[in-house]
Amino acid sequence: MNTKEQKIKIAFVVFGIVIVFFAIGIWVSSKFLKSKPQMQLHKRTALSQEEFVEKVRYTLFLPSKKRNFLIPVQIEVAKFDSEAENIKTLLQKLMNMKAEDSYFSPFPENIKLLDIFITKSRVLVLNFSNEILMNKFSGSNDEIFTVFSIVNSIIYNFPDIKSVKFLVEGREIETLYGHIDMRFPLRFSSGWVKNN
Amino acid sequence: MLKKNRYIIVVLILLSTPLLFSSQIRYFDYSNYTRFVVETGKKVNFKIDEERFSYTISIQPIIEIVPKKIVSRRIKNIEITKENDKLEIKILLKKNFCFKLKAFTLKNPFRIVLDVYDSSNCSSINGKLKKSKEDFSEKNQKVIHQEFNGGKQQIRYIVIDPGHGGSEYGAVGPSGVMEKDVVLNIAKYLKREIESKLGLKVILTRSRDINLSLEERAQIANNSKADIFISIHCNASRNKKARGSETFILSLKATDNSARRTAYFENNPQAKEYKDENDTITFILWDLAQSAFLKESALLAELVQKELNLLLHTKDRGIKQAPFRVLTNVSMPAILVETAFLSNPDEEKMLKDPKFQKKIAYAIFLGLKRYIEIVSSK
Repeated sequence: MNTKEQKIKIAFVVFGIVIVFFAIGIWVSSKFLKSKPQMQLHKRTALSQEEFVEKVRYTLFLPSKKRNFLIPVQIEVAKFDSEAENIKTLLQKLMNMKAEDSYFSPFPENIKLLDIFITKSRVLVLNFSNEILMNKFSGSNDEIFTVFSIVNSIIYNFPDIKSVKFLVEGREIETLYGHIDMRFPLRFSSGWVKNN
Repeated sequence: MLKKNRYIIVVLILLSTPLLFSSQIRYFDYSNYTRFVVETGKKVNFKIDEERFSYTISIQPIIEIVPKKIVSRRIKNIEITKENDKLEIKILLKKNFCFKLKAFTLKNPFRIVLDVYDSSNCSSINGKLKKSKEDFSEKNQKVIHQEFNGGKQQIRYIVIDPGHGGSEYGAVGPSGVMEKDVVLNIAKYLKREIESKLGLKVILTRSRDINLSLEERAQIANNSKADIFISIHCNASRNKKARGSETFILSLKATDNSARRTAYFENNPQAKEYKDENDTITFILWDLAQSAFLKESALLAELVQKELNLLLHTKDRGIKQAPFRVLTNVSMPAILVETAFLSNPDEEKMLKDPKFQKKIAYAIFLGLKRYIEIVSSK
């Protein structure tokens, strides 16, 4: 009897252990089975975004540190369907350019591009915040490079834009810093450009 | 009641008729001269006599003039008298200044214009306007005009424009030297050189630290019928190493003025003609006017730049073209001199030094002198 009772006890213990292992197995397997597909899905999404984002290469014209010219600098950015979005992207990139070994940033700091629009006659109108006028202690050299860095960079990359007109807070301006005539839209000016 | 009102209106019209057809007197005070205008409406014969502190305009035949109270920087008062068949307008000047006179006529409508300039040389005033009192002919008026302008000389008036001024500091150097002060000193030295050595009349667009718009600067040059316009500036760059002198002439190649006109019609679809403060047509005319002087401007720029290189030993940055606002509206050979870089600490020190400022003035003077010799010998 003793032997019989012992056998029954052992059987219960073994059964209990099996059930515990089974439960652990189910819990572990269920956990692995759920998380694995999620990770794979995430990875796949990231890959597909990278694969399908179309990029475009623009040439910006920035003031050279070595010579008194604007020099071409290549950048690569995401391409959008809308021309206006692409122009905005180029301008944001131009405004965020930090000085490097070979060039200066063409903009004073903290400028905001408030708005852009393109007229029927293909004149691009840029509306900047007041900060663009804050660099007023600058000379004609700075003014020429700020103005034609913007104008040349846009017209070179968007040849359908005929000319560029500047507004500040929606108002027409005579000059930026007292020199260049800004009353009229400006065209690409090759006189200030040279390869480094 | 209605009938009574009609009579009143007729009487008022009759009373105001002389005023409607009478001539007008106007005057405008500028920084360095006062313009006095008599608008006669029709062509008249006139003569101007000068006394120490007055000018008298004799007009024949008599015209109706509306007397006007004068509150001017240079004119004290005016006296209008009718004598026989002529009308005399006596312009009494304030006695604490010395003046130079330039007179001419304008058409449509006919106007007699007297520009009364500030003068540092009091002795030069008297004895310049010796004319016959009898002859009122048109021919004589031309002679008078020539006398006022300095006779046969081709180059008579030079306008020097010290850039910026007042609250517009221009470039500011690392130690705080301001462009507006440096260029004013250079302009004064240059004026002195030209007047003393060439005997020409020099008008400064500003002789003090005042705000002056770019349009006003061009107006001063055009109104004084200047033969040469020189704008003086100091340069600045983010590049602290940038240095040297350069001379600019106007170029409107990068300016799209037709686009402005088109944009106007796009925004104003009901408009039949282009109307704007900065009329495109006017702009084109100024463009043409300046293009006509492009050769002369380029020659002057070349000669001035050459002298700057020789005398200053600064880096030669050459002659360049850009759409400078101050050069856009002047109708004469015009240059803009960027003397040196205030943003460069070494050049800032030099620009602060009166000796260097005089050197710059002398270099511009030599270039100008050579230009006048070449132009006058043609």
